[in-house]
Amino acid sequence: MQREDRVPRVDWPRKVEELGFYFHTMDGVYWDERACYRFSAEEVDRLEAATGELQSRCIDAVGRVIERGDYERFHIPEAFHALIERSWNDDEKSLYGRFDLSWDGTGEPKMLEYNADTPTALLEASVVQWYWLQDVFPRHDQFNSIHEKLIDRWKDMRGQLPASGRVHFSCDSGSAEDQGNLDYLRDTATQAGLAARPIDIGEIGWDGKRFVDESDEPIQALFKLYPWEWLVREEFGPHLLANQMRVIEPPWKMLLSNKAILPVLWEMFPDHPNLLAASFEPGKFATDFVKKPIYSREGANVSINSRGEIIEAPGEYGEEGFIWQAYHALPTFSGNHTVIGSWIVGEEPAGIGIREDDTPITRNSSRFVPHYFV
Amino acid sequence: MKKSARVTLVLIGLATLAGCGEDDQRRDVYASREDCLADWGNKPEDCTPATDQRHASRGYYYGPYYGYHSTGSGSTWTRSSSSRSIGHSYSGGSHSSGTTRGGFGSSGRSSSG
Repeated sequence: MQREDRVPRVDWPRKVEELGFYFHTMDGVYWDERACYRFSAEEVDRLEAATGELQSRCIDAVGRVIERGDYERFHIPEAFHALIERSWNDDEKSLYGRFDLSWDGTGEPKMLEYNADTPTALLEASVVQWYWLQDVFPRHDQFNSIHEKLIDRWKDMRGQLPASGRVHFSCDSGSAEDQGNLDYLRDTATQAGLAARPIDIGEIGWDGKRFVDESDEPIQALFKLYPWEWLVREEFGPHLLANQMRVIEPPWKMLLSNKAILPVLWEMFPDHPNLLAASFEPGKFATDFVKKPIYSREGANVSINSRGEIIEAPGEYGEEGFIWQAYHALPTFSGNHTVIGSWIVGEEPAGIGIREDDTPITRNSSRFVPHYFV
Repeated sequence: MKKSARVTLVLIGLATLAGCGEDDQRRDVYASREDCLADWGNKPEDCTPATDQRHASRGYYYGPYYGYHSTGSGSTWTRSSSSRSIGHSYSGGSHSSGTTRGGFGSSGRSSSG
């Protein structure tokens, strides 16, 4: 695993915008092809194996939480426990997720967390860096079959979706990034033969019996790029309990997108080579630990305590409590802190996207850097 | 090979196919009236206050609706997003009086993970 400096392609903004990637410059540089990462085939194999292993252990962990009814530590409202169990027992299929891994090409990749409900940086990982590869290293390979796996997964899920094939796709359209990711997913669903209709999250209606769209047509299946923990606590949340609408990601994903899954995994698989020690107890680690809110996104309210220094990211999370995780520093390449986002589509590893930041905490604005392997 | 053999887009970007999303129209959402006017030639009639609850509560503005057009090889949005717009709002039918809306979306932070 090496970082290489590159000269960006001439007219790269036009090239990426032609792919629907309009948010390439949010908060400064976001898509950053001034560099790239080079892997060996053996390194990619190791990443793929670790990602598959972690996915299997996470599924084990969900099974144990549900079997034991161990919801209290996840701070999920009690009314929704039955919905989680029903979706698990009905084997409602998941579309995707993204592990964040710390790895420098040596030793074992370590799981920092699992973005299992609303992972983003998808369009850039699946499409934009693929086209970059065609332009820059057309003879080399890339760990990235996300696009074709997404289309195949939608086809796999077809039997659990309405006979009409109609699926509504929703997010907060005030976020260009969320909208861009959602539009891309709608594209893959369309290619799988589904009728993928967009609707802003605030335009979803309730007619007293069912969820409806802007035309008052029933919403039978909803893909939402909007966190489960927000849905269940908002005004329409209780209507979800009627279970009349298939929701993607399924309700059981509430357990995996919750940081409480990290200590549960460590309880179940202590000393697992791809896991970091984690605890619900603040005193578990004397030094070198990370404190993470149970619900948190984009690194918000995460604090690192290492060598007597504390680095903390601001935010609005933490009301539901925290977990503590052993600190495993991100590797640095040319002064950049690098995290590997490793994608799962369905149950399979599908590819990676690499993010860099000037700080040890990966944030929403962390730069996306393409990769290839030989 | 571990990469996709082919990556083709049918709805977004420029490489689109005919017949997709034929029922869609959309309009750009702006954080301010000034951004909207700058995008639409300073024509006040093109920039209206947002009416859906979430956008309206933040004082956002809509640009005018636009749709797809057909080309020799397919169809695409008649306008690509500008850097000033912060998202899109899609067209829909009229609402019935018995339906309530706005019950989702109040948490209001980016959901990116």
